[in-house]
Amino acid sequence: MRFCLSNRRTYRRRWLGPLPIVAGALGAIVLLGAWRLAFDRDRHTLHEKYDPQTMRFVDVEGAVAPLYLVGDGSADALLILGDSRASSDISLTVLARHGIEPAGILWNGFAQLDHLLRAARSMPQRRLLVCLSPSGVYVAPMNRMARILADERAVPLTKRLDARLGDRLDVFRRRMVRTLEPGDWPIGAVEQPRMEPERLLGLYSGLMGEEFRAIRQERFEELRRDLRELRDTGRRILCVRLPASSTVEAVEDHGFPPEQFRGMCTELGFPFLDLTGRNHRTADGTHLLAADAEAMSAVLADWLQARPEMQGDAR
Amino acid sequence: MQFDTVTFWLFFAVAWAVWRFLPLRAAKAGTLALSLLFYAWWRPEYLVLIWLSSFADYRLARRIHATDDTRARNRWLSLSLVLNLGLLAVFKYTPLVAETLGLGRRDADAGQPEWLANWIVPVGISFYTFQSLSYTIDVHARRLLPCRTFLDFFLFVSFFPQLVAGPIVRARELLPQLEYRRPLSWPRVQLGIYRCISGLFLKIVVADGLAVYVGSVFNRSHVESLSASQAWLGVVCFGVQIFADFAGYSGIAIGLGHLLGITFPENFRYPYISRSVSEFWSRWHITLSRWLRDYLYIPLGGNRRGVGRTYFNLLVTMLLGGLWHGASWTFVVWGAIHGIGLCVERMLNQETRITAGRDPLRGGLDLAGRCLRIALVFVIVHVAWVFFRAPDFTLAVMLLQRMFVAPFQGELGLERLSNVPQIVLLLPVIALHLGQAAHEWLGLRKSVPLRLAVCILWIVLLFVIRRPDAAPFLYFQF
Repeated sequence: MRFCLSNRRTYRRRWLGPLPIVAGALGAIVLLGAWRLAFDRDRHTLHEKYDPQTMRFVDVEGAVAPLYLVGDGSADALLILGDSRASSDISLTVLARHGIEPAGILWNGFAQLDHLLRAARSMPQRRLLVCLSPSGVYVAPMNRMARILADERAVPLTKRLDARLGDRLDVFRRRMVRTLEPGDWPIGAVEQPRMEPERLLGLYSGLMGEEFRAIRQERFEELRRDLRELRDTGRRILCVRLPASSTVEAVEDHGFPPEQFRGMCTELGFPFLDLTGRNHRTADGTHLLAADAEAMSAVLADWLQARPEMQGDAR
Repeated sequence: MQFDTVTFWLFFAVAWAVWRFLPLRAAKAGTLALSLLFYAWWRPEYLVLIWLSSFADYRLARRIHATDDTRARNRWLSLSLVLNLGLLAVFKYTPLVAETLGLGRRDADAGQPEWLANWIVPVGISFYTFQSLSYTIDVHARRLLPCRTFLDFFLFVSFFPQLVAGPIVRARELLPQLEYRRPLSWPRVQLGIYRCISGLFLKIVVADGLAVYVGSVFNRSHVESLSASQAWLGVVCFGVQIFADFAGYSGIAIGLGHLLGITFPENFRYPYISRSVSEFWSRWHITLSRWLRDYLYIPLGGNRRGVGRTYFNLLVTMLLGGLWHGASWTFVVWGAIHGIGLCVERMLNQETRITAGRDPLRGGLDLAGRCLRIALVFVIVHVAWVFFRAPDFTLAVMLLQRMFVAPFQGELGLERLSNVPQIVLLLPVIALHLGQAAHEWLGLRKSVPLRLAVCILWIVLLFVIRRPDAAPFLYFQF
């Protein structure tokens, strides 16, 4: 393909200097500006919140599943511990808008609370917001998670660096303009949607089955002990229960009496906010639609703002 | 290191400064070091293979040049061939041999031996082996003088823009350009930037965007339920994906070359407007086709030893060309389809090699005939792509059955295409091909302002379209 090298005679002189490069750069900036004005960059997609943050893999000793840190990981940040609901439903931007910053979320799909608390012990943050959920107390170990953890650990330093820089660029542009997401486009009748509510409900029913009731109670006692230990090491702890659809909430409540969370928090002196039972709309049964996630984050932020545990120097 | 990562562009900024501003000898040494870092980014241990192949060919070429004894020259050349092809055979084809001999199946569920499951083909081995090999062959044929220093030769083999996926550059094309730095001109910089942006657009937006749909179509659990139209669309999407992926990579490599002041040979010229299989091969992976032509087909006798031998040479060349692409029998079938296509074309005396001049359009009949031939070649090429992409023959045959038999069973299923927004990703590639066709057939001039507008559009789309999953360049595996 020839651009103008072999066609010098056919092009006017002005095209042979730096003009096309300058014009190209300016043109792209103008078009991107127009795009930004035309499409609200904060407009949510149906299934995902629009709150781009960098995310990095956090490896802790004795880990059984990979953990990811979204947002700020500094010592004076509020560290939110939870499963995919924490990552999907809590908007760090909304928290920041309400004065809760810096903050970061340590999460993984079906993350177990004992695992998260063990990780928190090795991290520098002193203020913790623990997202309590029955499925976070105990679900049977998932081989898939162990495999992902092994894969994450095997990633060489060079690839990690590539991913980190790529992630930063991605977040930068998503904060600048509203992006299009071909990865979320439907692919006709070839494949089913990634996760439909019925499948997820079935999954939760299996995970919260009767056969795990005893072991879940046992784990709950361990959780109480872990939280007390963390409190005794000087951490300021707050607890929240994040919402899901009413059907998933019912399944979870059936597998584990949720009043035990409130009782534990009262006993340990932790503030507790229960956000369930508010008929939030979800995309797949557990993760809130973006607008509901934003509203819920605002409620959470206001509640956090009023807590004395959030005041003063975090260290 | 991949061209579509932020790391690479930071790396390139350093490499550009090293090559453009340091004294020539230091610039060569610095660029060599950076090229090795570029390769080591993937796996540093495989650097030893490039070094071994390069060092051996450097020494052997000097020995070949130093003697006039034909037998000695042939002996040294044979040693170079054995060494290079031996490395290629061991590292690339061991899994295929093991599978063929029943020592293990590649299917993950079939419980193959651990050594086979963990087998890694060094990135770019097929490319740098061919490049290094062409040097000794050229020195043997006295078409080229050997390099004076190992630094020059090692830099030629490992020069980072074309190291892992081509274009396959010949020593006599690149070595003289490494001897002195040509001054950069604005048109060259413009061209370099244009090629890089168009390459990134083709890879990130088109190829990666189509990968999800293609993956779904070439999926064993879905193929039975595909309608004919879905199967066809999936295969066409793969044809566009592999073009966008590979032409994108080559375009970036050529663009980087321009920014450094170095000209690499063109690798793609819009292959889907070819009117014959032979024309397709003069537009698709051009540097490989000419390598196979000059170092395999012509040494085998080309078309000089009778009709039968010509067909035989064509078939052997394409079969080996297929095998070069991957260690699987499906690639051999892919090569065979192209080989048979070339033979049939020759038999029918209908080969239409493209010429540099313009083919004047003579009325509607001519245009209709031309379109018909393009469509025929398009179908042949895409039938071959099925074998190229399918992991095994079973899936390939199932997919072909959906493509060709299902329409006669009333399973055309055009309505099922209404919910495939990925179709829009075909449009840029179609537009580029139509533009080239208008340029070649109608003599329409390429306009800088138009290209500038297109380039601006690509930058904007690169910024606003997120790639689903950053997949490595397809040709890295070859």
